[in-house]
Amino acid sequence: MSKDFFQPDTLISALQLKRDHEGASLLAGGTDLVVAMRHDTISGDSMIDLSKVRELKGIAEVGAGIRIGPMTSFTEIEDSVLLQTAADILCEAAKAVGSPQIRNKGTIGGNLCNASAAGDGFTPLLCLDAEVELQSLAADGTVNTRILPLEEFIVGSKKTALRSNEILTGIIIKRSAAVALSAFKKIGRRNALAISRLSGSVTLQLKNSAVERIHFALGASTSIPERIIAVEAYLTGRELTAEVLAEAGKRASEYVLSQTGRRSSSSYKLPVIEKFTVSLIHAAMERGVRYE
Amino acid sequence: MVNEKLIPVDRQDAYGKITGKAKYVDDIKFPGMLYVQTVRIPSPHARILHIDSSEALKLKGVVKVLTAKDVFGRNHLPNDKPVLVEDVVKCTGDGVAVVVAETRSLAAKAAKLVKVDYEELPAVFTPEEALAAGAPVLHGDSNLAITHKTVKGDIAAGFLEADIILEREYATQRAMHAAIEPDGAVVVPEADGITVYCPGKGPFNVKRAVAAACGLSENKVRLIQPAIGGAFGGKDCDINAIASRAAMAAMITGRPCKMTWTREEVLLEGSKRHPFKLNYKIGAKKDGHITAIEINGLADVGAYITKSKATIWRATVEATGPYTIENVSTTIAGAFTNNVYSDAVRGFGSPQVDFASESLMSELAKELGMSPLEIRRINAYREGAITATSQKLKSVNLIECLDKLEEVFPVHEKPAAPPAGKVRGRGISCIFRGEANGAGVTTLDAAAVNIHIERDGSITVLTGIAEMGQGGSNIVLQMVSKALGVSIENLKVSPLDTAYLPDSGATVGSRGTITSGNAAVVAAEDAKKRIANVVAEDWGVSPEDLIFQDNTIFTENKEKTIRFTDAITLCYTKLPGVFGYGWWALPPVWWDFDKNSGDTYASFNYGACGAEVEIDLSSGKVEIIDVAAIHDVGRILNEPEVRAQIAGGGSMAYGFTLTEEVDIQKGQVKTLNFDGYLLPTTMDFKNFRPIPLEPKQPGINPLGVKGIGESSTATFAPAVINAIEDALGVRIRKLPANLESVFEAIQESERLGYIKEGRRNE
Repeated sequence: MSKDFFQPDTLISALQLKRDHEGASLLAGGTDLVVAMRHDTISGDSMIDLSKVRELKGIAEVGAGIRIGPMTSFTEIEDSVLLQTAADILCEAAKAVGSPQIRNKGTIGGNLCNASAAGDGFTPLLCLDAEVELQSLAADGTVNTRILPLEEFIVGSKKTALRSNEILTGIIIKRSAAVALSAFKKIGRRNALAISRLSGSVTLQLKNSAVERIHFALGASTSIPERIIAVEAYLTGRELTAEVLAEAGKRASEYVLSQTGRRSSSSYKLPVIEKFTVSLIHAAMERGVRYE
Repeated sequence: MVNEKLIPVDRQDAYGKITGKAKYVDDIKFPGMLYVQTVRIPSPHARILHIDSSEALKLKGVVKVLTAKDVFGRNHLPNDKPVLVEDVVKCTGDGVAVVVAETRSLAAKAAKLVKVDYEELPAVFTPEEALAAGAPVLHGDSNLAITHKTVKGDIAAGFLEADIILEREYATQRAMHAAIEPDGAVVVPEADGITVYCPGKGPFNVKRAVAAACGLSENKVRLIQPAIGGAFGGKDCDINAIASRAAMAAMITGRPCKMTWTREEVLLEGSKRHPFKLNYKIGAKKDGHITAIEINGLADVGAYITKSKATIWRATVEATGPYTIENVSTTIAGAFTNNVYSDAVRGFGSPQVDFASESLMSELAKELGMSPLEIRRINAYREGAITATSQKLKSVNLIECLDKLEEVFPVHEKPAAPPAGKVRGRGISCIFRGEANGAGVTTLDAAAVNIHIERDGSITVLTGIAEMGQGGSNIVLQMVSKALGVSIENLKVSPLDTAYLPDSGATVGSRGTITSGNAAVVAAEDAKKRIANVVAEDWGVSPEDLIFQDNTIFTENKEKTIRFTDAITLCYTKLPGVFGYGWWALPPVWWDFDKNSGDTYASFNYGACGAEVEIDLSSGKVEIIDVAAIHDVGRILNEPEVRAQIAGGGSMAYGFTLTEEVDIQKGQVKTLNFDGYLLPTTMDFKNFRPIPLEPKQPGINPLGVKGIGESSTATFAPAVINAIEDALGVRIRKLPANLESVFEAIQESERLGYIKEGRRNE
């Protein structure tokens, strides 16, 4: 149980608290942290609640991109008109999280920092080339800022590149000038309150009916949500025929097997990944949803 | 009682529950109250050598650590669950000690400091292992806990007559009640005896168990029931153990003591639904007539017997399904294992055998090239049918259920074309189910309702049937209101308190409405007679000529009329009290354990179900497109309530069919919370049509009612599994049909060429 509980209302005081209490847990909604507290699996003896820090909330256009505050709830993401038009797969993923109560409390930043392989926020952001902004406060009071591609932020199961004095302060989606097709899908054991059995996103652009550019990411497959380069490389330049898609599915499954080895879940997961890959890309082509 | 529709009314308990005013057991607090935490060991079978509580007692605020040695009275019945384990732990849920401390968290912390030395013993985790030669034995000289049989005709001759014989094995999983409120109790030591506050479906059973465990006479244990957050067949033997532990702590410390389980403890120690394995062999003529059926089953009883005998008995009686078969042999056994114990869960053995027998009927229909409805009609029980136990049936409404199914569900049509990558199928099922306790329980199946009419004409109603959310109290109020012609707003149900209520048995076996509904009528008629005599004498008319209606008593043509309240004022000038007492018992039933025959249940209810599912071929995810659940309820007393009962049973059955399972590996419970025990949400359980049926023949009791609480859990699984088979051409014979098993069926279907390129190959 925490000894100290802090509730800063500005970013600078939050950064200061994190600097002075490096072991402190950050409370960013609590849908994972409170569960960990119950299981006695959180380290640190104090807690910093970020719910009152206004600078960490909201969705806004910034230059050519969109900046999402990490304390933005999944409900806010789901309901954001800006994201619905520019990055609707993120809205789809937000809609697939937990239940209305969890979506009201849970935040995109908390989801990313928890770094679960099954975190629903990852695959759409990976396919949207998202970057994360990390800030810390130096002893002399200067604010240090790092910007990392999301791929580099998640370094392992439940592990991120976040340093002990840092706070995730922004998620930035660069708006692609090109027109793309996209889709998000999730397999859960039930239609709400389900941890992803498998999730995935795809964004792709076609040129003369061949794939010009594709981002394809899977969650709950390997130890971290990740883009499957083997699939992207294979599909680039190809026409998406049934045979090509089937082969892409095989390659996705082979990649996952190469990363995880055979597990008790493999007899379900590996063939499902093949089919899921095909149906996910199909969904992108059918939906024809665009983002600009 | 006249057979006219009753007007449904809102529940009296709803306001308290919605506004938070209702007090559940964990809301109950007393000054100086202590918290009691169970100590367990991680071994499923172990001999306890020594318990060292010195470290735990060093913590400030820890008051006592108690063990089996401290149990005042009877620790357990033979083969049954102890309050605390004396020498041998038989499953990981077993309590070996309790810590009594000033706070809940302190008690939990101290429990981890109690050091238990034990010697691991070899263990058995399946009934098959348990019954193998040389297996370690849990109780007595064998792990064979119980065997029940039914025998009819000549099974060998029956199979000789058959044109086709099928043999199939079905299996069901360990599931649970999943009441939103975890089990708990608060016990207050009194000057003479104790007061127990706990939720439970059988308050008098708990009272007796606690009295025995505490060495107190039954009249020194008073049980007061707070609001109950659901039971679903549970809140029974688990509550016995919890209340007995808290009682022991209260008696030793002289302070109020509370034990409420965490969700993890409910999973770890709480009782579960019996997993069954069922082997069916069925013989039939080409025209669909069944000539013989042989059923051999084995259930996992777990570590203790509790009510396994009655559960397996019911399963044995109902195992054939609702079909007239001349030659039957059913044997279902239960074996002790080192798993958490199995006990009553809503359905009580029926859902397991109904899943098997109704899957089998559709398999047989397919083999014979017949429609699944037709084969059921051919063999269905009709009025006067003779069951496997040689019981002659009355009030048989199966054909009406099947007619209704055919009317409301497109049994003969193909499902609409599904979206790409998905397939659809339809399946049906039907059941019969014994009413109330039946001959598996030896005490007479009776309930009482007492009504006290206050001086102002308002009415206090006493009923021992526990209100667990099923609406039982309301039924009693409705009956009294109707009989006395008094608005239901003028009636109030008294809190359940064993100090003054008549023991009406447990709220089990879907018996609440049958027993207490009829008792309420008897009680109301008793009061009515008393009132009518006084009024009739005053008016110089015959009591039979009085009509009680609209809060008024009057003669025909309303020549004489008096307000009910004024009549009560008059009664109090002439009578020592104005009341009505009523007992009602089901007709007696019997069972000959040597001959394996008898009149098992006073009557049966019937049901039929049609289901349409859509299966995603890339994941194995099953969606419910439509389910029509038809149930013979005898007579509808409150339509919204009966529809809700059917839907509630259906949603529980959804989990049993597709998602719910308590995973135990080598005696270790792996499913410890609702993140792993997957109840359906409203996003999953949808497109469900509850259809209560009032058949031409009502139930065999004055109200004509039949129970619905449990039948509602029994038809969904086979209908949905038959629908999955219809969609894929491949049969799943083991529950739950989760993503993995449905996907495996899809792969098999593709190998067989039944599914090709994302659609049915037709």
